Amino acid sequence: MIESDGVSDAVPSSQLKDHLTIFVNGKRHMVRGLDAFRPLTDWLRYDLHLTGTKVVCAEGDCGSCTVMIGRGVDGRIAYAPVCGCIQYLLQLDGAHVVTIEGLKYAGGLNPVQQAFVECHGAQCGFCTPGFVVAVHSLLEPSSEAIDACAVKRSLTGNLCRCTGYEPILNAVEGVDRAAVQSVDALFPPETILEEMTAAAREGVLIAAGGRSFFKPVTIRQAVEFRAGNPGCAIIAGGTDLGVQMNKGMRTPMSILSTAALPDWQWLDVSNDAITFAGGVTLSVVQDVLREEIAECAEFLEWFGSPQIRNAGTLAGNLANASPIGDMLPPLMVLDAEIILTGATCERAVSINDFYTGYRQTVMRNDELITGVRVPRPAEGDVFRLYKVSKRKDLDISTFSAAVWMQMCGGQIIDCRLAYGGVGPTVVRLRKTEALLRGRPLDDETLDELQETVLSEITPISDVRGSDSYRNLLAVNVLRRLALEMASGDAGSSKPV
Amino acid sequence: MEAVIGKPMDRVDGRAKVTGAARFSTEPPVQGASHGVIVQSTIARGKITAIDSASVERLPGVLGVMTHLNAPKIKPPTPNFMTGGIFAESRLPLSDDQIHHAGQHIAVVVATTLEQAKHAAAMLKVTYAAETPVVSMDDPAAKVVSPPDFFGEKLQDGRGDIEAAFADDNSVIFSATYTTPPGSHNPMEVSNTTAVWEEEKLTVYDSTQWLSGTAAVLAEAFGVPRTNVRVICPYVGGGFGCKGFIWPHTLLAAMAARLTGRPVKLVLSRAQQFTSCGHRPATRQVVSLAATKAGKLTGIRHLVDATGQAVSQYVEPAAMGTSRLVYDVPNVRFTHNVRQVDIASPTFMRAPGEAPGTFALECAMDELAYALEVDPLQLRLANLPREKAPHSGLPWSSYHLDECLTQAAEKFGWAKRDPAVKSMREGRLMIGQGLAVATFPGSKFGGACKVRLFGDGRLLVSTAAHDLGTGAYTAFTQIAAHEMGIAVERVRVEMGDSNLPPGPIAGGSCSTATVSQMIHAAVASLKKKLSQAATSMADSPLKGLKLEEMEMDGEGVRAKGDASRRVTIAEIVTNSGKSAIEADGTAMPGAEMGAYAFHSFGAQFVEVAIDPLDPRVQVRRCVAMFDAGRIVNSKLAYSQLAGGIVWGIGMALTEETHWDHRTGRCTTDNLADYAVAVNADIPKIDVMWTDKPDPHFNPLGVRGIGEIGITGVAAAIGNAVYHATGVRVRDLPIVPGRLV
Repeated sequence: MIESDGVSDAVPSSQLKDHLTIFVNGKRHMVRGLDAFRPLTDWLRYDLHLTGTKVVCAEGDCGSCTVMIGRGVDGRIAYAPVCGCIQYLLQLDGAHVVTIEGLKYAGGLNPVQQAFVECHGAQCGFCTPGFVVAVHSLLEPSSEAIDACAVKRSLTGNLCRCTGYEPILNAVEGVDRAAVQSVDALFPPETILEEMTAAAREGVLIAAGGRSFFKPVTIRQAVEFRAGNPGCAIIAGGTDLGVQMNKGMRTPMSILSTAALPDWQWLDVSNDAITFAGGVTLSVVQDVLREEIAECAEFLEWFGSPQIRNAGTLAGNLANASPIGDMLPPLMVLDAEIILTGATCERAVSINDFYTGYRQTVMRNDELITGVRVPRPAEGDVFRLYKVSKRKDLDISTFSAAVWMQMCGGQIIDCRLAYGGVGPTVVRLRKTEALLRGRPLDDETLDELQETVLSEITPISDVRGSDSYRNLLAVNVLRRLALEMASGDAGSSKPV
Repeated sequence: MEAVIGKPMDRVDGRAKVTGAARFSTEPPVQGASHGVIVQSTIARGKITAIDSASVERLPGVLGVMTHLNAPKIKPPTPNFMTGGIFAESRLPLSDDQIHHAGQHIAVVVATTLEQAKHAAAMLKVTYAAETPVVSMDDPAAKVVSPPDFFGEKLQDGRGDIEAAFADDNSVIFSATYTTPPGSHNPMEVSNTTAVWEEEKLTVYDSTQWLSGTAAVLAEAFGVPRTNVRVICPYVGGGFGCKGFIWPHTLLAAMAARLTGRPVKLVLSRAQQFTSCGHRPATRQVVSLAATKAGKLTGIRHLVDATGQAVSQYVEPAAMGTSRLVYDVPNVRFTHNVRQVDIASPTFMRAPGEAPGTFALECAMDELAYALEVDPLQLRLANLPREKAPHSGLPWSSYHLDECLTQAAEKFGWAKRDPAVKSMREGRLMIGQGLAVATFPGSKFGGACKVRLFGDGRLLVSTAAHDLGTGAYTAFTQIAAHEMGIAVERVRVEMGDSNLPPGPIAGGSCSTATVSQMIHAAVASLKKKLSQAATSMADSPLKGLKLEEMEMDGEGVRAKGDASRRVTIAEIVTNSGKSAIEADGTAMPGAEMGAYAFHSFGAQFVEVAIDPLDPRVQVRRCVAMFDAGRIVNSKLAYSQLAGGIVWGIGMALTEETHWDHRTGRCTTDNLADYAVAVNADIPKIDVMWTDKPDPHFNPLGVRGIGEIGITGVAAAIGNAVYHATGVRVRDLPIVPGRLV
């Protein structure tokens, strides 16, 4: 689908660059014109002949294209592994891309590569560079202990179709960690950081071949551009739009990038809530919540993969308005607020009032999600999250559920339930909630509420599961919760 | 000289792969390459009434739009497994306006850049006269055919008196219907072809399991001498069967290059891969077993229905490697029907036939064991055909399934299993344990190689064979070092180029079995040449010695028992006036194929855990043991076999290619909806092997290990699920909805 939107002249183009500045393995490249609208991997492979980065699925589902993306943050370069196939060049102004070819140590193989050779971690070799980059990133010098679980989790975004995984996990275990160098040691920041920061702080306007791209440096500019180009596609992490563009489902003629907008990375942690700016990635959200709302951080382990969370933003997940968006149910039961900034005003909307239908929200054409305020559950509240998917990791939810309950003496004083994957939007089960209030979560209550639960959801059968299976999960998730509460079992979002 | 066979040598291509330096077939820079993007049919049945090429040809960068109206005419290639190649379909691409399935290639748009080609391909307007497609095998409109044979093996056959076996009133009869869904190979590297014409010479970079076959098909299709076609593919990013036969996109790339006069690089998208290079078809299998009350099988009837395509000869041979020969049964009957549907052509996929066939047979055996109230392991052991192959009557060349079953059972702890269903629990979790037999034939093809020994002692082995990721470069290096009696460091194996002596197709788990025999023959010939050269040199200390009076010691030729009389390799090479002494070796299946039955077997044991509140099956433990001849490299072998088991887990639990029943379009054409196993799905996998050399198959005694690993896994999981829950799932995949 080609989307035809004209470019507004609302933004003065005089102070804007007409090109992107992207660093690859320490070298600066200028990208102009329509090239800005290309996926990173095509450019790496076809133009720079850096063919070590492979493209397998072209939708962030396998990790073979994993590269490190570094951006200037607080006077240093912060690197994170991401899926290169769904990064578009227009997202990367001022960024440093490090590919498998860049992880070359003086004198031969790096220790990760050495271990992969010795443990037979490579078979056909097509997923291997992506694994090596992901593992190198995991094992970079730090004081953090890395156990087998952390290794497995760090590799949830990398598929292998040959080895059976064990040789790869053995390889990770066999890496001589002391010999792993930081990316900074390979590419000293002093030579590139200044230029990267300067590039990142400049706005960009590229108009070519009927398409336009705008990279603002302030939220004001972003909102003004959006107001002037109501049909423009907004790209931040690109983990959803990148997939749609790769598949030809969307070809936006006008794109507004909020990727790494400097003013858009703030956090506010207060006693009653945590507020995230619109540009905060899911990885950062997870890191912060690990201390603040641990259940939510644990749940995020099953959100895509590390590569996806390093690129995707919380605001993007909410704006995408998918009925199986993983962060919607938890934020609904916590009664989060979405802060919308428009051309003329800013407003806060409860997430419970934000969605109006299948992929429909109350957002106006000039608005951006600039913040998400997540209230903390109070001490003693029950807050549980569940995700069910076909396989354990790296999967789209078949069904998801979030439960918040305030308890007193075994009775439910107040509660909120939200389910994903059971209707055109994530569903709040308000009738079930009403039924639960003032009662204990026991077998009698569970038997009684079954019919009410089923009356509030409208699941369909699709490739991820049948309607009857989803109906069963919708009831059983509460039984599971009751069992867990009775047995004092804290785990919930973890699969079996 | 230390033994090299069986050693866990590191992969020789490991370094190239971990650094990303290994160049796969889309990656060598090709001067002036343009990009071809395939346009596929959106309808599943009917015909094209119009294609508006003209408006797309005007778009920026477009060099040509190739459709059935302007495509260069090509000739249908003759299929030949041994000396030619096999084109996968009976219809040539772009040969007419007919549509046989959604995803059929209907045009190729060629442009200067990939983006231009993609954009133009998206803009191409095609008008169809659509008809209602037949999508499901249950559709009464599906044409049913019953081919008599499949590559020389009878598809409708049996032995004994099957009716009598089932009419016996004293027999215990069990019968059930099992289904397996379509599956897609999904190698990490999608199929791709880059074609370069220089006058009448064609160079093709293609991701293929069959270099010689691809070259032969291209030569015949374009009517050029075979020597004018060169196919290059040093590395393959996985194949699993979908790069075995030659598929339309390979011809299309060469046709588009001819039409536009430019080299064309054509890479399928992941979505296109699902409909362009085959899949494992859906099967419905009715398995009936008759047995005495004591548990001796008296009859097996295995009726297979599988989906197929009118333009494809492929039949899923689900009973051939299973019910036909796994058990010692006097009365057997099997049939294979193809139900032709309007979906893309199926093909061989890892353990074709055996993968779905073992699910049906080995679940049925488990069900029979419960009906007879005997232990499933004992039921197998009581019915093994230890003396000879029941289907051919030939003696087994090497048969060790007993050991596999008993040793794997021991390792697994089968004796501790409580046979009652729903008897094993861990808190809320229901635990189940199941087993199945694994089976795969020992096959060989023909091929040739050249060995060259240089004056400095290096040995170069050259053959147009393949390393799909299996480790063939490494295994062949070890084999050549072993045959020559030199260190592996002195051996280099070059493959992946059809200009080298023709190697076998990398399929049917036959590469190592075939190539090891080629190398054996070539090295024997080389040794003979060296000895002859050594004796004929002027002043040779070996003058007058007969061949049998001399031996090779890796450094040269010497008199047997007298190391002081020797001629070095360097002296022989120098004296020859050439850079190296070379010799050729060939292998062809011979008289041994008629004298013995060659077959690999194995045992699969699994344990599952299921939470009744969220009945997803979690595989917790796998123990397997295989009898697959001599193992060349234990490190490679573990990965091949465990990797196969992981495929079995995917097949059992998550993998399913789905076609929309109304439109016939593939709805799972990506790696999000087609769920292959991730590392968290995979438990500890113990793999053992008997390591018994097959005495008659080839000099080294190796059979293949690429495919047997997947066989039996889905049945073992299904049997374990039944043991855990009491729910018998006869339809794969075992998704939670089927346990509700």
